Amino acid sequence: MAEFDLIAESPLNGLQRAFEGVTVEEVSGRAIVSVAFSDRAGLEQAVRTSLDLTLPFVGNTARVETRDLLILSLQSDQIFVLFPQTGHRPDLEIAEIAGDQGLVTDQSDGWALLRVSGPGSRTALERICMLDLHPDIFTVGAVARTVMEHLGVIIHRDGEQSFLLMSARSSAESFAHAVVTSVENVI
Amino acid sequence: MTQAFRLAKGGLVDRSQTLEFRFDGAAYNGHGGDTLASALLANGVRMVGRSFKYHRPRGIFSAGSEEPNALVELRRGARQEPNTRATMAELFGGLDARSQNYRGSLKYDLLAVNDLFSPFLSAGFYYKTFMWPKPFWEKLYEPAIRAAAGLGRLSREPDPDVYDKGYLHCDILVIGAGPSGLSAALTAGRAGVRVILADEDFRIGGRLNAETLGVNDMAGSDWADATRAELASMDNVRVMTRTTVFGAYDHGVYGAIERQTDHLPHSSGKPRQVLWRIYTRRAIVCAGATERSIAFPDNDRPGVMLAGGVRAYANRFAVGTGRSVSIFTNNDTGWRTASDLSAKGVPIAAIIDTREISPLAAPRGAAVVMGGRVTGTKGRHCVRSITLAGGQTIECDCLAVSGGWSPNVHLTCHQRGRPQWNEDIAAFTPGGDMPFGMRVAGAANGIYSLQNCLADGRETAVGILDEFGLNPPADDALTADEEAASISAFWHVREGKGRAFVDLQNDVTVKDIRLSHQEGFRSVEHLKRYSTLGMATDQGRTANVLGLAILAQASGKSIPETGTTIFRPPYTPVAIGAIAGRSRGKEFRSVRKTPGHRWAEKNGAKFVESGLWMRAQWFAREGETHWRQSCDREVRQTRASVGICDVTTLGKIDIQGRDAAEFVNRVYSNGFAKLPVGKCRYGLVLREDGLVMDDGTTARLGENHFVMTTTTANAVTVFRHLEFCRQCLWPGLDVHLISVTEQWAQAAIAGPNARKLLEKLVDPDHDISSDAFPFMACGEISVCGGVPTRLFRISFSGELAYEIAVPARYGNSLMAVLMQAGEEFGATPYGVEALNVMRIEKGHATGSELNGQTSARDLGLGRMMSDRKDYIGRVLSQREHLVREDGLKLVGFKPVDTAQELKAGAHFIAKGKEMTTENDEGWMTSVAWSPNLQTSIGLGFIERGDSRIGETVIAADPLREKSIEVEIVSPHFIDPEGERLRG
Repeated sequence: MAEFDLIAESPLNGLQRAFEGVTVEEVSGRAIVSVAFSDRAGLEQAVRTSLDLTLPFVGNTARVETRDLLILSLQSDQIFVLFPQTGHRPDLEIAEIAGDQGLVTDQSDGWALLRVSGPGSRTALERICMLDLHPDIFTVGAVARTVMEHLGVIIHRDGEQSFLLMSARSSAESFAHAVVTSVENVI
Repeated sequence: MTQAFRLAKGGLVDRSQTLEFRFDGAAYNGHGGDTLASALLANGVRMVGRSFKYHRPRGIFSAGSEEPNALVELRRGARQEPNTRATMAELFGGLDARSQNYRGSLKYDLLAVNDLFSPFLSAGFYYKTFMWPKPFWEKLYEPAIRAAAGLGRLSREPDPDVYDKGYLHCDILVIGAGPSGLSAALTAGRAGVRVILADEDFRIGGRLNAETLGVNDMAGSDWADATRAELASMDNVRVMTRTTVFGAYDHGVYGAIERQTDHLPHSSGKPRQVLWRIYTRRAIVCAGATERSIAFPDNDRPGVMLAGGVRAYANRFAVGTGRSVSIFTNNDTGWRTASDLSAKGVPIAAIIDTREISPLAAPRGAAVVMGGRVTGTKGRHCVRSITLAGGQTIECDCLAVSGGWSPNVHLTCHQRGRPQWNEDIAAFTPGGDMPFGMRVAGAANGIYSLQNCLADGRETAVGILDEFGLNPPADDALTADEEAASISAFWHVREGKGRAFVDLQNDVTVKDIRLSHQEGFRSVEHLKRYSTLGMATDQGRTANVLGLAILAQASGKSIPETGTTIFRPPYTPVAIGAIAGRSRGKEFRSVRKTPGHRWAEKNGAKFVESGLWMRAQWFAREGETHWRQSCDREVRQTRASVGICDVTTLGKIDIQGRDAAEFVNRVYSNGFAKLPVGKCRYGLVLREDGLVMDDGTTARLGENHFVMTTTTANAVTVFRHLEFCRQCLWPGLDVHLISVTEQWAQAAIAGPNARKLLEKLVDPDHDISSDAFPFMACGEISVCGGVPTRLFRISFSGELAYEIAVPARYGNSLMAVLMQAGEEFGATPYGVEALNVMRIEKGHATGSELNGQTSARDLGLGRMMSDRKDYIGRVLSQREHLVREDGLKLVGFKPVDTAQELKAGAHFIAKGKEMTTENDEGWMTSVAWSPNLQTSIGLGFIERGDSRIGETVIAADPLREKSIEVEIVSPHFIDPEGERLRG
């Protein structure tokens, strides 16, 4: 044991708020690794081989249930991979999968993750999200980059009535306040 | 008080619900479903305000959002809101309203004296009257005019209400829930597309609620109720009442304001109003039409109302607007007012029609005067009688006027579309060049009969469904009662004395318009500015067409030749609070905090806003009463032993790819291609114009992996610049970028004991001795038992220094652990003030020097502009002005008298020269008190500075009235040879 220990803290200190019909909670313990690539086919091959998975196209996600792994396809040459954080170097875990087809960057500490769920979640998000979250348009599994209250956000629909929101760690308190205010304004 | 003018039966008010309210302090009763206007009329309150300019008594004129007269103040205290249209204020129990724009009392207004001076208060009277003497304008005229001007009063307190905004999406936005809107929404809704139906009223139905015409053998209002119920039951339809669509913007985006709690006594902490941005594929404007008046002498007396409004009060609100009503009309709808009121037992005194042939049967007992004209009205605070052109006087306490209907084309013109004149209905209808995706149906399109409106709404929706490739639902053939709606244009009565008002809200008369024309204001836009016709809350909705018809007559042109003014958003007034939404006070913008923020808070940090970031400015210790004490201590302690500073806010960009080195080499002005792995280098990023964009150190972590740092302020700018270079300039390079600013918490550890401190944390398998890890080394190591760490041996302070980065989750703990490890050395945390002092002592540039106007040569960094490679900014940095020998140079300054304090922003003037712009030789960019040198020191740009070391000049500061003599010195005040940082 080292003489000095560093203690980890989550960006929102485990925020959890329950309202009538909507719950807002911080999601922690997820590693986030960015994979940039120049040759989609090459990475696709690597992913198929190691995960038996087809790489999703921009705006879509894919899951590997056995490894609790979620791939967010964010732009034509970049994906984010979310999975349980177990070690100090999640980027190296993904580098093993991507091989020389992907350039990995650890993003686990850069983002605050909030899940907004419940039957009132879409109504609440109408107040800050300019995207059309109608279930026929933004279907379960969809992902998009957008802006809420001037803050960059990645939004992913991970259930009929559940949305995972990712925003920058430094402004997480402002972001959480904006989300909670949106819920409070509609209930 | 009894509701003496409430009709015995009928109407859509809830008589089981009695609501008490106050107007000008007196208590009254109304019913659920009333507006303030209908409730006041039900109680016989006729005079509700004073006019803008002449302070003439004014009453309720209309029954809708076009109301020019009945502007009242609502609520009390900080929630007081002026200029609310009584016709739009939904009644609730406890409503407290007051009339406005008078001195003394509403009935006996001292400023009514203005009316006596009306001959002097014609159009443009300010410009003509207050010409002389010139000094009187600011001191006398303007204050006096300002004191008298304006309608309501602001509370002068911050608005305590909450506002919000939101975003909606639909296939079809139907604007207006009258007959055409309901018909269109029904067709679209039944076809399954996503529909939003928005209406400014609290009750769906529009004119269906105001008329007695039926639909499908039902009362119009019953059909509207049934349709609303059907629409509300559809998942694909959203019905929004109390919602005004006020603007049509680009790409099918509409602005709408929803008044969520204005009809309630309290908001209960919920948003009072919500500003919606509605994204649409198509929109159907079913905004109906607004009735206009006829100009005749004294046509502004309380009791003179629009005929359609009078009908609405009777049919919808069960209110008789008088004991004896006369009608003055140029069209058939005026006659409907007579028949509807008569059917409800309200006596009709006379119908005066400007046309020659009687179109319809008059109610029994009503005198009919065809080809007639009203030439005057009498009555002190309410009309008591009217006079006709033949001299006949008719006793009546309400005169219902209809000069025809103007389609509400506003939204169709918001992108500079021009409406077109339609002689058949004597009105403007939408022109061809409408905003993208917009259609118009019903009365807004100049279609006035109910049957045709219903059909037009449906057909318009069917047309859109066809464009979507969808089949329309089966036509269930809406049928409506027949009605007459013919018109013969008649604008104003020439006979009679007294002023004939065109724009009631701005007190603009026929004479004013003629005078404007006579004085050369020929364009309708000029007329508007000169006379104020069509300005203020109602934007001339009852007045504009009338006004330009009179202008057309005066100029001998046709109405189409005269044209209209441009309609701009918003269609109706929108509170500034609603536009601001949540962006007030601390929520005006978001706040960024470093992971170590909480530690800093607990340890006495005072924070400063740096962009969105909160940065520790200094850490006050017990007994320190001035920031300088803290700052000086932090500087001294850092230079003497070791200090720790949170530098997480610096931008960090991960650059990877086979061509990463080439990419970095092209972006920086100095060479990076050969930077060895494990080394950092200071670099300058130039803009295309050759001036400096930013600076920072970039570390090479691997052959194809760099991490670039930027200044805090330029983190986003530089990242955007790099992405532009990557995607647009050099798409062929294999390089990828991602910001890691948020990923890493970073701290600077500076001072002679910096290494000793760090060694206590670094895991044993990493050697950070000076030999193994020299100045400008970098590496990926681990600390505290395996925590991945990036270590950079770089120095901003000039001391032996490192920057250590750990994953942000450990950032708060890192500050505590560093302080704990540094305890034996007396380590101090330091803030940006101390950071600033030390970088000035060292002569390092920051934002004050990299201000977007300076070149590398100005900064004394000309040697960093490589001549062996190409890079962004190279060509334009060679411009003649940028390479001149006598250009600006960054140097240091000291006061000749060390007791004096330097001021940033002072400009340098040669001694003995006048303090003029021509003699300006440069300016002071940064200053600090150096606790090490015990003097004020500064950095600044001055012409040929590098060759003038030792010279003295004047640092002129006329704004702060302080000019002192300063000596030009080297910018490196401390350790110019850099021995300390290599230690």
